Amino acid sequence: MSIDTATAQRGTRRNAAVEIEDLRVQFRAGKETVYAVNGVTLSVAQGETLGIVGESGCGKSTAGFAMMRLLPEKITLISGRIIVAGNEIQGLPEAKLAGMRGRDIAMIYQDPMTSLNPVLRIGEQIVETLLAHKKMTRAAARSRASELLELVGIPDPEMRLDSYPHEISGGMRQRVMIAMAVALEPKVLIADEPTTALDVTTQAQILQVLKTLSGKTGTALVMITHDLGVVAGTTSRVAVMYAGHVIEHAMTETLFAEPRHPYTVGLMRAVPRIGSEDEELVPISGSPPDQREMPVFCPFAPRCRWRVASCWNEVPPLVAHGEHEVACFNPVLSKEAEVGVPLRDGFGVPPPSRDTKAFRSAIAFEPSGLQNTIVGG
Amino acid sequence: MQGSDTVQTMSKGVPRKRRTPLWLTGDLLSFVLKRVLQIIPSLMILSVLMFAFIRMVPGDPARLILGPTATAAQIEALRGQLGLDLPIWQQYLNYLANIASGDFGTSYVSNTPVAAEFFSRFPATLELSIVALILSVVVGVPLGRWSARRANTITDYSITASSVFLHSLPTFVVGLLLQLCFGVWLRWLPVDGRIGPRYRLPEVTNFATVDALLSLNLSAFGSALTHLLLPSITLACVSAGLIIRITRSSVIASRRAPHVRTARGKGLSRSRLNSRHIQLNALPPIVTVIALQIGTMLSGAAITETIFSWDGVGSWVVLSIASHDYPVVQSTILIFAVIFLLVNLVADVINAVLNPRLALE
Repeated sequence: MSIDTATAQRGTRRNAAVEIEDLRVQFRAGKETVYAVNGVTLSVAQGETLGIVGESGCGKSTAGFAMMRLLPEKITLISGRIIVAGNEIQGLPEAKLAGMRGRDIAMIYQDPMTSLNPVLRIGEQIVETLLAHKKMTRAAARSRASELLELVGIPDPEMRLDSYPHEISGGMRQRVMIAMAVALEPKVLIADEPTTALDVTTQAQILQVLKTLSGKTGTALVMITHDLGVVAGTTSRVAVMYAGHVIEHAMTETLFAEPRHPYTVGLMRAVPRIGSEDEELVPISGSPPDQREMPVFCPFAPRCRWRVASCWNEVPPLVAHGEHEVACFNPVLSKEAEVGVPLRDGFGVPPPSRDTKAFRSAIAFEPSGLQNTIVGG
Repeated sequence: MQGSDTVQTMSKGVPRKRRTPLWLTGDLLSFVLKRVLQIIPSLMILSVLMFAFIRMVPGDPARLILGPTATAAQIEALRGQLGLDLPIWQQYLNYLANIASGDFGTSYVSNTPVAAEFFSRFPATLELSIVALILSVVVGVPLGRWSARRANTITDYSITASSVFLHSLPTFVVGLLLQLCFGVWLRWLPVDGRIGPRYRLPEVTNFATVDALLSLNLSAFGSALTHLLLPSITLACVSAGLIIRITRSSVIASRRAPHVRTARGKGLSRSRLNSRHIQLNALPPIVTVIALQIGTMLSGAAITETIFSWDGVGSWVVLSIASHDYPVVQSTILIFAVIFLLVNLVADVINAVLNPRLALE
C-alpha cells in the first residue's frame, strides 16, 4: 500500500477525538535548530487508548505539548495540522484555546514535584479548574474536588484539599495532578509518564482509574511512556517513536506479537521477560542521534543491526502492511524478532563517506564490534 | 465519570473541616522565635564592630570639645570624666550595661540624652523614608512587571537600562541635580527644610504632613508636601532601580515555572493565570528586596538629609561623626540596626505566610 493511502486511512478514522497530520516541531535557539518532531501522523478515537513509546528525547512529550499548544511559542516552529474535538488548534485565538484546555483536552504532566503551584492549596487548584469551565458554586466545586481526590485513591480527601503540595508525597502529588486533569472529563487526555513517580501497586491503581475514565466517558487517552509494561497493559494501539519519527504503529497485541522495526525489537529484547529469564538480553548499542541536524537518512541506521545500503540514502517512510505500519527498508522477520538479532547475512552496511555533519555524527555513533555479536552471521 | 455511590455518601457524611490557617499553628510561631533569636548574635557582632570603628577615626573627642586652647591636664580630666581613659573593652562593657538599663548615653556636644534627641528627630527621617519607600515601590514594582511582560523588547531594554542607571547613580549626585534643576533653574520646588519658614505647626506627631493635616492647615500641608518631594525622590532612586530589576527577574522566572504551564493547561483566564499563578509566586523575592530597602533608606537618609537640610536622624549622625560624638553615633546606628533587622523579620514572616514552604526551610 502506498504512503498516501495509508495516511488517508489514518486521517479518516471515524470519531477521532484528536488527529495529528504531518506534525513537525522545531525548536530554535540562536542559530541552532532542534528537529524534535519530524512528520508525525496519528489519530485517537473516542474511548480509545493510544500509547506513544520511546526513549527520552524522542519527541513524544513534545508531541503531547503540541496537542495542548503549550510549547513556548517564541522559539518553536510548528507545522502540520492538529485537530482536537473538531477544532484546528494551531490557528485558534488564545481565549478560545483557554476554553478548550482543561475541558476538551487535558494533560497529566511528567514531573509532579514542580507541576503544581507551591503557594496554592490543592483543593484550590482543582476548584479553579472546575470554576474556569463550569457554572457551579464554590462549595459544589469543592465537594467535587474531594470526590476526585477519593477517585484517584487519596485517603482522607476532605483534609487533603487544604494541604499545600509540599506537604504531600510525590506519588500523592501525581494523583492530585491526575484528579485535576480528569476533573472535567475531557474528550482527550494526554498522560505524559503518568506513573513514573509511583510505586508498582499505586501504578496499577492509577492506570485502572485512567482506563475506567476512558471507558466511562469516552475520553481518548494518549499514554506517553517509556515503559513497555504500561503500554501492554493499558493501550489498544501503540506508536513507537524514535528521534521525532513514528517508526512503527500497530495494534498493541500485534506489536508485541510481531514487532517489525529493528528499534522496536531492540526495545523488547533489551528488557527481561517473565518466563524467559534464561534468554540473553540484547542491548541497543550507541545512543540516539543528534537532532540538531535535519534528518536525511534513517535516524536509527547508525545503531541498526538490520541496515542495508538504502537506509543511508533517505528517511524510510511509514508504510502500511495491512493494519501494521513500519518505517523500515528491511523489516525484521518474526524469527529474528524472537532472538533479537538478524538471522540473514549481509547487513550492517557502513555509512557512505559524505562529508556532512550528520554523517560525521552517525559515524561517531557506530557501535564497535557490531558484526561480532551477530548470531549465525 | 461521576463519583461512585460510596464516594458521594462519604463526602456528604463527613462534616466540613477547614484546616487551621498557618499563622495560628506552631510552625509559624517557632519560625518567628528562631528568627528573633538569630537577631541577637547579629546585634552583638554589629555593636562590637561599630564600637571599634568609631574609635579608629583619628581625633580625640575631648580635644574637640575643649578647643585648641585647652591644656593637656584639662583634656585628660575630661577624658576621665567621659570614661575614655578606660581600656576599650571596658568602655564597651559599660556601654552595654548602660543600654541594658535603658540609658543610650548623653551627647558630648549638646549634653542632652541621646534617646530623647533621637526620638524628636526620628519622625522627620521616618516621614522621608516612608514616602521614599512608597515612591520606589509604586514606581518599581509596576515598571518591573511591565518590563517582564515585554521581556526582550525595546520597552524592556529601556526600563532595564534606566533601572541600572537609577541604581548606580550616587545619592548625592541625584540630590544636587534635582536641586539644581527644580530648585535653582525652574524654581518649582523648595530645596531645603521640611516646611516653609512662615508655618508654625503644633508638635503632635512630628510628621510635618500629619501635623499640618491635624491642625487643618491645608496650605501648610501643601508646603510640607512640596518640601518632601525632592528629598524623597532622591532617596527613592537607588531602591526603585533595584526593585525594578528584582521584580522583572522574579516575574520572568515565575512565568517559566512548570506549574504555570499546568495552570495554562487547565484553561484558566488570563487574569487568574497572572495573579494567582505568576505574580503570587513572584512575590517573595520582591517582598525581601523591599524590606532590605529600609537599610538603604536609613543610610541614604544621612546623605539626603544633609543635602536638603532635613532635620532628621541622618543629618544628625553625619554631624556627630564629624564631632566624634561617640554616644550619638553608637546609639543611632544600633537603633537603625534593630529597625533594619525587625523589618526583615516582618518580611520573612510575610513570605512564610505567602509561601508556607519557606516556613519549614
